[in-house]
Amino acid sequence: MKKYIRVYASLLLFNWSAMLVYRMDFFTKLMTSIIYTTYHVLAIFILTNTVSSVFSWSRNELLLLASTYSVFIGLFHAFISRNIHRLSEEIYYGRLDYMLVKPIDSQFAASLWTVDFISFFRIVMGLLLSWYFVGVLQLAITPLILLWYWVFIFVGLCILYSIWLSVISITIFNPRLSNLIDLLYHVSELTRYPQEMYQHVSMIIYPLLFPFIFILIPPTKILLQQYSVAQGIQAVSVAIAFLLVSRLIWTQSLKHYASASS
Amino acid sequence: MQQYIQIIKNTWAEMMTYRLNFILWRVRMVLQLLVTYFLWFAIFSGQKELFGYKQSMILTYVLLSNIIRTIVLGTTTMEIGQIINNGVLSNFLIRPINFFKYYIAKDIGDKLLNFGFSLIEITILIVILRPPIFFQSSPMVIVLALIAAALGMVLYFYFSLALGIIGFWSPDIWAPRFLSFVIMEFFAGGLFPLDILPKPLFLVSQSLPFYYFIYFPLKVYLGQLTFMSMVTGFLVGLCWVGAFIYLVGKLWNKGLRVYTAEGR
Repeated sequence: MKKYIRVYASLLLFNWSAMLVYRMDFFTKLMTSIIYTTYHVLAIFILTNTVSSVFSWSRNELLLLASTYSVFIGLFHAFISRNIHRLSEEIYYGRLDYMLVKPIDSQFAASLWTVDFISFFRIVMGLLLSWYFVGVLQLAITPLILLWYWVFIFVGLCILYSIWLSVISITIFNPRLSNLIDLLYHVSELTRYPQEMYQHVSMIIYPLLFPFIFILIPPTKILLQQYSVAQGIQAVSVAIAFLLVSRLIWTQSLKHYASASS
Repeated sequence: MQQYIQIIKNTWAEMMTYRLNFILWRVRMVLQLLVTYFLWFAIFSGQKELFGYKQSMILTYVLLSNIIRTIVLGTTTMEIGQIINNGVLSNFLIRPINFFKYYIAKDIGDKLLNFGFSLIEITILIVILRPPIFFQSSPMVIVLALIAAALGMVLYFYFSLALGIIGFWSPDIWAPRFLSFVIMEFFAGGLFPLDILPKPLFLVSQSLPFYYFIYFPLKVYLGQLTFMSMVTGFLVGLCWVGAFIYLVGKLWNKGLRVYTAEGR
């Protein structure tokens, strides 16, 4: 464990230095991050302009959900998505060998190698917006609620990470599925709307969206103080199950890695 | 002409080689459409009219925006920046073929295939979801809407080319493209019709080229534009096309002078 903490600390340092080298890249990505966050919240703001509630969520509750999405997706892009994106490329070009021969766990190397510090601006923007809408909704936030908020953000990250890793592991069998990563980015955006929105979807598609209910809704409902212990246990159980299954898929997929095109 | 028809055929062959990848791409498009569709469906539940739109109008807007998105925003010119950066452009420069015409032909192939799939998807969705749809009965308006879509298509082609040409001066093409993509997503009217925006934002959107990508053709189809605003729209759209053709020509000539075929 100590070794992994030391390795991760070094990786953080390397990533920080790399970010500072490409300053132009830093500023354009920063601008993109700010505009994207504004776009998401503004879209909900405009769409709910003339209605008091949608899917039994009030307008301000939906805006709080959109703000929580910024925090969540900021964290996801900062620590996870870039790594899985990189992983899909390593599989495609047959460069995964370099990762596998390192004296550390392959899943650790594949999932946590790069950190996108620019996404932290998105997290900060999301937190500021969340703080604002918590004020508008006049919610009393205690330190315990904040603690559970972060716990369930982490639970959501575990679920989404497991989905991404499992799906990209499949590309080991067919490395040409490069569009899978784009699809994942789109699928992840499903988390930013309440699950009630998808209830009109056919019974074939709806079960596929089931895990997404446990990603962003719990932390938002915790802030709104509308989340029960039973729902919390359910979300944690789903996260544990998904993490175990993704680990299994990853290890099994690696056995079929042929290092094609390397 | 024969060579460009062959390029269209090659594009199809290339896309069909990676069939599963192409299907995933279409799944992504359908997913994007479904999210927008259900969002609007939920917003309209219990409401007859919102933002001056009936439910049938807005759902038609959402469903057709998928087709318009496919024919206007579907392009292969995204790769141009990379082609310049890795020196592959040299291969095009020594061939007896016009680089721009090559990409026009490639885009036609790409758009035709995606358009076909998009039509099938929309038909299936209409059969499954049975949404209230607005059918335009005037052939004249339909023709005008098609012309508006063609205008958007040409405008986006040159807009995307201009972004790709940045590759002559900068290795980082991803960031400006992504930045423009985010701004375009908002101001093109893919998620919602632009006239539901607050007045100042709507005025800003009207002064941008993105206005002609999705919103303008769909508004023409829905018959919600007055004769004057339609004429103005077409004229301003044509001015944008002219401006972008001029800009791309200038940038291309300047770019070729600094091109060093780096990486070859």
